[in-house]
Amino acid sequence: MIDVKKLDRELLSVEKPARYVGCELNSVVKNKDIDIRFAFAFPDVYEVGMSHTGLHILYHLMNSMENVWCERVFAPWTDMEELMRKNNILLYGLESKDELTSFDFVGFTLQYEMSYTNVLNMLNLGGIPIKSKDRGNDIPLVIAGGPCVYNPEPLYEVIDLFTVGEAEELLPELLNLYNEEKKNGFDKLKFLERAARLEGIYVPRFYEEVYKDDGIIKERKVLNENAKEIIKKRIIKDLDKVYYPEKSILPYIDVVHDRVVLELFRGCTRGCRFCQAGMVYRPVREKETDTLVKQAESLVSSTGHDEISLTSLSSGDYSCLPDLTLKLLDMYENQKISISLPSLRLDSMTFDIIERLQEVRKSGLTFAPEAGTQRMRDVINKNLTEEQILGPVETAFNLGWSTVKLYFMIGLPGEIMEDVMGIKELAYKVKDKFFQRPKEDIKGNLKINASASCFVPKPFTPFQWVAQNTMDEFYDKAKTLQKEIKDKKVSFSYHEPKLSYLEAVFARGDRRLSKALIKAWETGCRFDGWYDKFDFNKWMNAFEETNTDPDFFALRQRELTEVLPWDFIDIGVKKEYLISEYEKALSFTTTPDCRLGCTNCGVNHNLIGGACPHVQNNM
Amino acid sequence: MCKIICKYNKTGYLKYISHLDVLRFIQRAVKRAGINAKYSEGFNPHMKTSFGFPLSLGTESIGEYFELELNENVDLELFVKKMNSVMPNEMHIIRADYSINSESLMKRSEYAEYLINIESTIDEDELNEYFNEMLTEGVIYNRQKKNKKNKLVTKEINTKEMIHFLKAEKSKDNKVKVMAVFKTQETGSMKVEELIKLIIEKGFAIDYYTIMKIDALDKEMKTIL
Repeated sequence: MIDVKKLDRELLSVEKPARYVGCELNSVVKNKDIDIRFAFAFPDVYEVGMSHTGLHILYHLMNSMENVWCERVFAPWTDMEELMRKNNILLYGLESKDELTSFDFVGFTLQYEMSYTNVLNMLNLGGIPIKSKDRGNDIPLVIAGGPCVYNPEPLYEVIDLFTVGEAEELLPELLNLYNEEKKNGFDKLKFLERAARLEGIYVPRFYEEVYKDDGIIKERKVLNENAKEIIKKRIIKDLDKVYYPEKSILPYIDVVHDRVVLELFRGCTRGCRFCQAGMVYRPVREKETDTLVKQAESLVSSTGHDEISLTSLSSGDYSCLPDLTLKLLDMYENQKISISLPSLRLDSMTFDIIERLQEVRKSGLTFAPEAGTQRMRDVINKNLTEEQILGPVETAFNLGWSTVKLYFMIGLPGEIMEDVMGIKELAYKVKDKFFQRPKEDIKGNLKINASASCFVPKPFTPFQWVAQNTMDEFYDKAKTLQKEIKDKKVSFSYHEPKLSYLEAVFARGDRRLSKALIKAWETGCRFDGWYDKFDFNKWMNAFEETNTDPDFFALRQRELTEVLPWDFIDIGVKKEYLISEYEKALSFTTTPDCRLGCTNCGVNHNLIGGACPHVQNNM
Repeated sequence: MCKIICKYNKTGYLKYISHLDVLRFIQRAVKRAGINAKYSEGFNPHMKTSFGFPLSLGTESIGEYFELELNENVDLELFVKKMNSVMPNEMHIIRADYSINSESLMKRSEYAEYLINIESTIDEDELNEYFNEMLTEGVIYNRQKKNKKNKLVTKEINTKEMIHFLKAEKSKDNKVKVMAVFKTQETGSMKVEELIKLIIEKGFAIDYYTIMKIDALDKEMKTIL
C-alpha cells in the first residue's frame, strides 16, 4: 500500500483531489487475500473514464466473480503526476490504495488513439516497465481492449495481450485460465501461449511484421505454434442474457456524463462509410424492452441519477423505441427523471416522443448531416437528403426549439471546395427555415452552432485505404468557412487539424510507430487529446529522432492489394465488402440500410453469431 | 408536508469532496432512498434543501447539517434507516428531527467546534501561551481574497474577534490535540488552516495534522441537533 499519510499531506494542493481517493457509493472493496487482482486502467482523467459505460460493465462483471477483485485506476492529471513523482508515490488502485505492482493484471481500455502516451505514463507511474519484454513473471500482466484494438500494432511492444471485440465472455475465460496457471506456478510465456489459443486473444510477441523496401508490409509471420494466423473478434450473441450491472459507481464530483446509461443495442445497420463503429460492432443485436426496463429500475434506484440516457450507435433504429421511451416516461416523470437520446437520426424520429421527452427538461437539438452537399453525403453513404434534414429542423422550430447544433466533417474522400461551401449553405438554409415561418410563430433567439471535424480514415472502413487531407488543406478549408460564415445567428468552429493528423497516423499505423510513441512520451507528451496539453512540436521531434515518417501512415493512398497492418483481425465483415463500398463511394452510389435487405457484408456468414437477427426477422 | 433537519458526518477520504458535490450527493441519496421530497416549480425543478456553512476541503466532520422539505410526514427512524442504507459509511445521518425553526441553518450556527490533532512533538504549554495571546490581546493577520471584480483584496483579521475558545492538550501518544471553538459570522469565520499557519509562523514545527469539525453550535452554545 502507498504511504497514505504522505498522500494526505499533499493531496489538497492538486485540482479536484476527489479524483484520487475512491470511496464512491457502489465501488467495491474486497479482502486483499484473493486469487486475482485486476486494475481496470482508463488512460484519461477520472471524469472522462467514469463516464465510460464499458468501465462500469466490466468492473462489476469482474467483481461479480468470487475470486476476482477489480479496482480502477485513471491517468493522474499533470499536477498530480508532479506530486506523485516528487514524493515517490506510485500509481495505485483507487479502492485499495495498493500500487499497480501488487496487481495480477493491469487492463487498459483503449478508446482513442490520443490516449496512448497516457498508457505508457501510467505504467511508468505505477512502477511497471513499459515494454512487455522487460516484464517478468512477478510483474503484472498488461492487457488491453476497446475499439483501438482493431489496430493494436502501434502498442505491440507495450501490451502483453489484446482482447479483440466484446469482452464480457472473454475476460472471465482469460481470468480463469490465469488462475489455473497461477496455481501451477505461473510462467508468463506459458500463460501467453495458452491465452493465444482463446478466440479473440492477440499476443503480439508471437508475430513478426516483415516490410518491403518501399516500407509496405510484405508479410506477417507467426512465430509461435500456439498463435492463430487470424484473430476473430468476439461478440456477445444474446444481449438479454449477458451480464449488465445492477449498480454503477456514483462519482462525487461532476463527471462528463453523469447519468444512467442503457445500451439499447450494439451494431448499426446504416453503413456510413467513414464510421468504424458501424462496421466493427456488426451484427446488430437489440435488447428486449423488458430487459431495459428492468435495468433502468435497478440502476436508477442504486444511483439516484436524474437522467437516463438511451445509447446506441443510432437510437432511432431501435425497433421498440416509442414503446420503451413511453414506458420509462410513465415510470419516472413524477420523480423528475429525464430521458435523453443522444444518438438520434431525426429523420427516423417521431417528434411526439421528443416532445414528451422535453417535458421534464428542455435541451438543445443536435443534427449530424456530416457533409454539406448531397454529393458528399452520397459518398459517405449517409443516406440523408436535404429535405430529410430541413424537414425535422422545421418541425423542431415549430415545437419551440431555437438552439441547433450541426456536425460536419471536412476532408472527406473526393471533396472539392464546392462541398466545403455546402456546409455554409446548409447552415444558412437551416437559418432560413427559422425565419420563413409566420411572424407570430417566431419565438426565441435563434442560435446555430456549426462545427467541422477533420476526417480521419480508420481501419475496417471502406475508407481505410484513402489518404487523409494534409494539414494545410484542412486549415485552408476550415479558414475559408470561418471567413465565409458571417452571421450573428450562425457560428462556426473546427477541430484542430494537427490533432486529427496525429490521430490518423496512429489509427492506421503499424509496429514502426512504437519507437516514436515511446520517444514522445519520454520527452513529455501526455494527455494529447487535451488541446491545452497537446504539444505538436514534441511529437514531430519524436518522429524525426526515431526516423519515422508520419506522412507514410496518414497521408498515403494505399493500394487495395496492399497488406494492411490490421488485416490479421477478422471483424466478420469481408474485405471484399469494404472494397465494393469504397468503389461505390467513388461513383457516388449509395447502399441502403441493411435492415431493408441484406447487403452481404459477410458478418452473418463469417461470425460465430450466425445470421443477423434483423435479417432473420425480415425473412 | 414537513421539514426535516439532519445531522451527518463526513469523514475519511470524503473530506476531499467539496461542498457543492456533497449537496448533489445528498440530493441523490434522497432519491435513492425513495423519499418523497418537495421540488421547486419551473423549468428546472430542484429539490428543496438547505445546508449549513460549507466545510473546508480537507476537514473531516461529525457535525454537518442539512434541511429537507418533504411532501408528506415521515417516521423519523425509518427516514434515517432508509437514508443510511443508500449512503457510504463515511457519510451517514447521525440524527434527524422535524424542523420547526424558521431561521436558516446558517443563521442558527453561531459557533463551530473543532478538534485538531497535531502529530508533532511541540510543547503544549508554549502553545497555550500563544493561544492565550490570541484570545486576550489578539493576533492580527491578513487574509487575501478575490473580490467580485476578481481583484485581490487584503483584509485584516484579529483572532480575538474570531476565536471563542482555544486550548492545547497533550494526548496519550505524545501528540498534541487542540480544541477550538470559532465564532461563525456572516462575513466569514476563521479557518482552521489560518490558525495552523499562525502557529507555524510563530515557530512551532508542525509536520502533519488532521482537522475534525465536532459540531455547529447555536447562540446558547448548544448543538444545533
